[in-house]
Amino acid sequence: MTAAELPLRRGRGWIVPVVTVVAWQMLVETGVLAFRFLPAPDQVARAVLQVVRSGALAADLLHTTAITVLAAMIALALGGVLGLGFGLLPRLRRNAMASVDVLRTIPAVALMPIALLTFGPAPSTELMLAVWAAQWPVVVSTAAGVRNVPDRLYDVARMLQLSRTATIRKIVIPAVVPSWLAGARLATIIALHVTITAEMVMAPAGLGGALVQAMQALNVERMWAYAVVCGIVGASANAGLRRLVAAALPGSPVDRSVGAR
Amino acid sequence: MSGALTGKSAEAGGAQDDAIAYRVDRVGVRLPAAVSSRPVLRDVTFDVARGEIVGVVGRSGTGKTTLLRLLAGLLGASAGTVTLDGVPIEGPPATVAMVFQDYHNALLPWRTVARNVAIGLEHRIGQEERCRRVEQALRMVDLQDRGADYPWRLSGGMAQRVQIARALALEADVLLMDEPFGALDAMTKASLQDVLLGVHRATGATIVFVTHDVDEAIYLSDRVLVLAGTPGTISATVPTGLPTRRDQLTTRELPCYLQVRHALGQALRAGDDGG
Repeated sequence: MTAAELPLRRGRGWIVPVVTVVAWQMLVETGVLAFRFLPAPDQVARAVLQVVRSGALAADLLHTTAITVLAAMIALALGGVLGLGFGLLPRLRRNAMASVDVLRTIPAVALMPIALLTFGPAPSTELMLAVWAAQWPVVVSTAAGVRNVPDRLYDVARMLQLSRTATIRKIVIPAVVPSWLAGARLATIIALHVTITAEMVMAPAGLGGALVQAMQALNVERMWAYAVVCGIVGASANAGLRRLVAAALPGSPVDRSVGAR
Repeated sequence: MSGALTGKSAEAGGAQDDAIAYRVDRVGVRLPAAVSSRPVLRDVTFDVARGEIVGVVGRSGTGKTTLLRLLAGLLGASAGTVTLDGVPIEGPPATVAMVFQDYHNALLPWRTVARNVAIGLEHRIGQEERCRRVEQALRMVDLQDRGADYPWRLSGGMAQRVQIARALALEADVLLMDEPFGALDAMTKASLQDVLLGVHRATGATIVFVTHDVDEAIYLSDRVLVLAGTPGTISATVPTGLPTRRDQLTTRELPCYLQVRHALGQALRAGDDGG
């Protein structure tokens, strides 16, 4: 391909969104799309600028991302330890894995009213819910990672006279890092979803709280503005994490297949 | 590897016993199967002298890998005894190193080549001595320039040399190898065979290896054992009588090489009829 083709190719991903926004704008202006509460994209864009300028967005964004990041980090630590435990201790796995499978499939959203009444509408309640929901993918993928450590590596460890602790520290834990990080990406996205939902349900704070307040005030443009910001936060968190994980694992399978044969 | 040369006096004592590394006496092995257990080896008896290279050949399913795991202490015998330097084996002995066929599983992908070689030394010796030994081991397998590379950047032949270097860094008396060159192409195989012979000349280590390649067994070994039957047992023992210095071309043309090849061929065929 020539140098001129490259930017064009890279731009292809933008075709669908751009066409959609332009079509939306035209359909609203021509009156084809005539819902009572559907603004045109230019109105949404103006509302975004307005919440940015007023400083309201910065505070809400900070609230939501702080809780999401904190929840994801706690979930990573907690899920990593639990997953390692389940992976390494067959007895624990046999006794507790069934409960884990039930607990992790309970929709976190269903626990929100309970958490609200039990712990009150505080950021710590949001955090608790986000951690609860976000830890499961880490637990499951870490435990699977431990069980996928090749038996051969245990042979190697035994031949090298490694103690059980040394085997876990030098062989099992490093071997499990890729699975753990795969769980981390999911955990962060789930933490973001649950945090925003919890804010909508219980606390007049954060992106979720502002979104619901705008809806209740029938401030449609503002509501749309916050929804757009939520979308941007989710998409950039996903892309950023993907890059982070790739950078943390230079020997990831894609890379590894190149030199091996 | 001074240990291999000086030796430690065995419990049994006696001048002759000092020369024996492994003594395998009427050993049987049963492995767990779907229903109860399945016999894999029966009535296996042989000795391995210190500094000897012994090749084990046999068709698949005759228990070659099981035999090697037994010598490594990764597996216990259900009958009979296995001793190393007069001491019964209970678990992997510190003086034994093992090279596995599946190098992509046996090397740690998150460690560089040098750190893969060093892993067995980390809890035994200080950093300075460790670096020296790792460097020396890598030089012996001609990988001195690849210490900072990751194993998945290496070819199969290089990866196997890393495994050999890991064993060398331990300065083990005994090197066990499970089809070490089985997954490599013919050229790489030949060059690694010569690397191994060079290592043996330099260290005097005892080497026991398993292979399905009769020519490889003859070329490398002082003695070739044939495992046959299910459960497997030793059906023939053939000394090669080849000179210590070997050459990929001329050694394979020696009359005694061809005689050994013929004898092994017959032994393997007999095993076929019997099984």
